Amino acid sequence: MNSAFAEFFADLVELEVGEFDESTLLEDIEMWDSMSVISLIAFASNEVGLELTGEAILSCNSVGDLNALIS
Amino acid sequence: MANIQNVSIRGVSACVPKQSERIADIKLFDDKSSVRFSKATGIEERRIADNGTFTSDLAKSAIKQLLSDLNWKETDVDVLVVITQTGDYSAPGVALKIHGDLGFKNQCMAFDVNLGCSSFPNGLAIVASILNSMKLSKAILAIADISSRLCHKEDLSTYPLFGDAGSAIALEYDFGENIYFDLNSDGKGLDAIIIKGNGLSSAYSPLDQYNLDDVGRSPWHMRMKGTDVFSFAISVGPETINQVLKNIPDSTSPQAVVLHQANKLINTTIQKKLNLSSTVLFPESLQLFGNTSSVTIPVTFVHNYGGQALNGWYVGAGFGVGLSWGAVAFKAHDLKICKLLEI
Repeated sequence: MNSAFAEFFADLVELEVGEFDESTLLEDIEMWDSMSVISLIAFASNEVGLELTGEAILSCNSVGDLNALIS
Repeated sequence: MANIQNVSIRGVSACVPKQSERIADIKLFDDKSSVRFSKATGIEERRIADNGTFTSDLAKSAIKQLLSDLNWKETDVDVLVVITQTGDYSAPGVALKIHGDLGFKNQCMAFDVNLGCSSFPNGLAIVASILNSMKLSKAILAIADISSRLCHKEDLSTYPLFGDAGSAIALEYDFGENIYFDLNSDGKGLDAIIIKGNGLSSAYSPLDQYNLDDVGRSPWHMRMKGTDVFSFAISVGPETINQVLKNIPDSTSPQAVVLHQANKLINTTIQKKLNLSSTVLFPESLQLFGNTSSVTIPVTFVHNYGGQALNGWYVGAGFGVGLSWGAVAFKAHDLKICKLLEI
């Protein structure tokens, strides 16, 4: 997993970096919500230069899917 | 590049309801989610109009204060344009209600325009165009919305975000600097933020209780696709601001860029993408007033500069319902910013 993404994601969903991996399902993460989605759009735009849609993010099932989307 | 000559902006006023509601007091949020909401959006409280207060009341108070501070008489005003999506009546427009109540003269154009978060640049373009092309002297642009009443109280995608406010902006025919505009629309995005209720295409009866959705929203409630609007705002915001900035003498150093106040994350993202000088201010009003819809830019001027006379170049940029977005750059010459009014 991209380490900048892993750190950002951990902060976003209020977990430690070791508490999830690529196979972790988003539906199992308590703090994965609409605030997380907009924060991820902002992260992708600012840090990766990528314009993501909410739809693209909501079609992801796992942390690994998100990582692939922003890589 | 669109620009309008011979018009100066003289003053800005704003009026908000006294009654405030804190995000921390919204029952549907537990403590953790209200903190999380405030952290992402920057909103800690909003002003909510009581049921007896209408859009015309907020606009009238703002107009009266602005006229008084500028020493203008009601009968001086040649043009009154009101921008709102929460008019007192379906017809006539709020402008006519205000025209009658405040005793404006008959030789005064008065009408409403239906726009939301892009009202500030679009409204200035409409009113300045009329003054310049018709050689009229004085105009008032009033922008006001009671958005809280459009939001279902259990709809966390709208209700915690919006606050109520009214504002007035005075413009005068004068040999001032050009005002620069960049104005855009994309009607294909009309579903992103929509209130179906009063439109004839919906053909709903006001008593129709059969069209409630899973949140309990009727056709009269606002529906917003928050993540789509977020992506839209951070994509179009920097571009429209850069379009107007390139016309001003020092394009990296206006005094301030006043962004539509929808959510802090949108604004910090736009600010990062602009690469302006670190001296440029990005004043805000989200924390205490939330997203006041069409009124955020005047509210932000008044909240940050109330009681001052401003000079230098300022940029205002709005983006939202429509989809509609744009920016304006203007040079302030002793621009009177009134103190915030509460009713």
